[in-house]
Amino acid sequence: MDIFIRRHPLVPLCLLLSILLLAMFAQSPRITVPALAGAVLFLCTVRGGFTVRSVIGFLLCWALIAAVNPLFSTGGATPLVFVAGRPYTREALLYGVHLGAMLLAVLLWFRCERLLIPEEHRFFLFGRFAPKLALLISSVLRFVPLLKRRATAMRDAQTAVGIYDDPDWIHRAGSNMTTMSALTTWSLEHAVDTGAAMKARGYGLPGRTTYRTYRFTGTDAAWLSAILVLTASAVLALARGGLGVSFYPNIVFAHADTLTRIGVAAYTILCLLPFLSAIKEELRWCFYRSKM
Amino acid sequence: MNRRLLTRICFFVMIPIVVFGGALLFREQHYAWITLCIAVLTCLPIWYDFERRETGSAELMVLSVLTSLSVAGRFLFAWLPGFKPVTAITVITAMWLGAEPGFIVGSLTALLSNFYFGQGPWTPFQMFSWGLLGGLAGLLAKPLRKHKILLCLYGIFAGFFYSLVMDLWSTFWMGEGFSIPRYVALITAALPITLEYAISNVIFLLVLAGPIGEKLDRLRVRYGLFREHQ
Repeated sequence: MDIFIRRHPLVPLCLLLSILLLAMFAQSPRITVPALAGAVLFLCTVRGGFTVRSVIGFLLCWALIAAVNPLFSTGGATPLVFVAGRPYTREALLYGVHLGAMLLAVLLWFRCERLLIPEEHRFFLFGRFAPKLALLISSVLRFVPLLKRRATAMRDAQTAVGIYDDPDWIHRAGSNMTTMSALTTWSLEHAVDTGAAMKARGYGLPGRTTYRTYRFTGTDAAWLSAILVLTASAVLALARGGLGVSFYPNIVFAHADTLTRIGVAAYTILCLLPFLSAIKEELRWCFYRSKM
Repeated sequence: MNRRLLTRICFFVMIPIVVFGGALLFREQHYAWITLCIAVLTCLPIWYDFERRETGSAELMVLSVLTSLSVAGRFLFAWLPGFKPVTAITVITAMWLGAEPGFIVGSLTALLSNFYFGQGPWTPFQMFSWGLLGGLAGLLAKPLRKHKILLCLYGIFAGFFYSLVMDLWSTFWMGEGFSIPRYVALITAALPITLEYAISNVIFLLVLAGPIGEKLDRLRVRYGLFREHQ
């Protein structure tokens, strides 16, 4: 991951946008397979990528989408069984498998986003283009735990007095509402004070600096243009119709000429970049030979 | 470069290119692409206007507290799934502070609560629907404040609107254009959750509108916040 942590945040952002938009809208197994593979490989190598529960959830979701699709579309040529008089076709099942894979790939790349663009980088990006949005985001992320702590404090106090631990859920919801109301008063009052304090410290004056600055260097430009060139060749393949595939009545892939192959290869490289940067240290450990 | 010129180029040149170019490029999925563009492009001008306008630091902090309340509300009522105060707080904000703050709180809640509950392709649509529900409530502020029954109806409408928008996007994204049986199936599958949304919206609106509205009104009167939004 260190390649992307050290780069200007625009580089991973651009990479993610290219991968995601193509994976979401190209609707071709030639795009979906590398996207899914890249995300799975990356999430398997980094810490906190997958949990057992999430894997089971993802696989169940995939199976459900694949199995349900033939119930809605009956376009295929090879019926497997008949459900309520309607054919359950092989092509529709395979379409469902592809659809599920595409959804899964997109969801997994959204998971990767958290790891590729850490919070600090995200604020830097937002702060440049939308300073108020950045301020709102960072203050909300600070307020949410604070509000939870205040709510717990009030609930504890009320429980100690003995008016809160009602087994009846209507009363419990009612006391939650009371807590919420009190929480609102407390927090709004506090917000106005915070606003006054910010103003007193010069919020909104020109010449503001950020905690971390990322200079856009030559290396960043090289990375960015490499990503753009790879994306462009994938888009070219898409625009020429080389990625097209029709599922009904029979599954027919468009003829793959050289440009299509180049486009698919370029997209595969894009998808593998996070994985490769994650195992860079391992690769160096295996292949680096001492020159002493 | 002149900032205003850049913005104009962005709005009048880049956006049409993105929408139509994308629709031509993603032939199979152009419904989904255009829907996504609409969701993003509805939010963009409002957020842009908000960025450009003078907003005091106290007003920003009030907006972020209201957003945090609705995000935290999802945790506070986590023991009743689907029962959440997000729409209610958005609507109440819009009723007392105006349409734009309502839009901001609604769309920001979607963006931020998904940092905890998981980002996905649904984020722009949640931002769009919650934002729009807030903006609309801001425009209807006077009648909504006066008549409890209208507030209830708005809560029910909000629950259904939210579900229908999300299902519309799912239908488009699953390809094969707009398939009515698929849309109907998705709506039917989501019906219990939709009803729960509608009911929880009504309950939260009825219970919270009075107390929170009073507090927001006090902010306006005592500190003079959000004067130009009314």
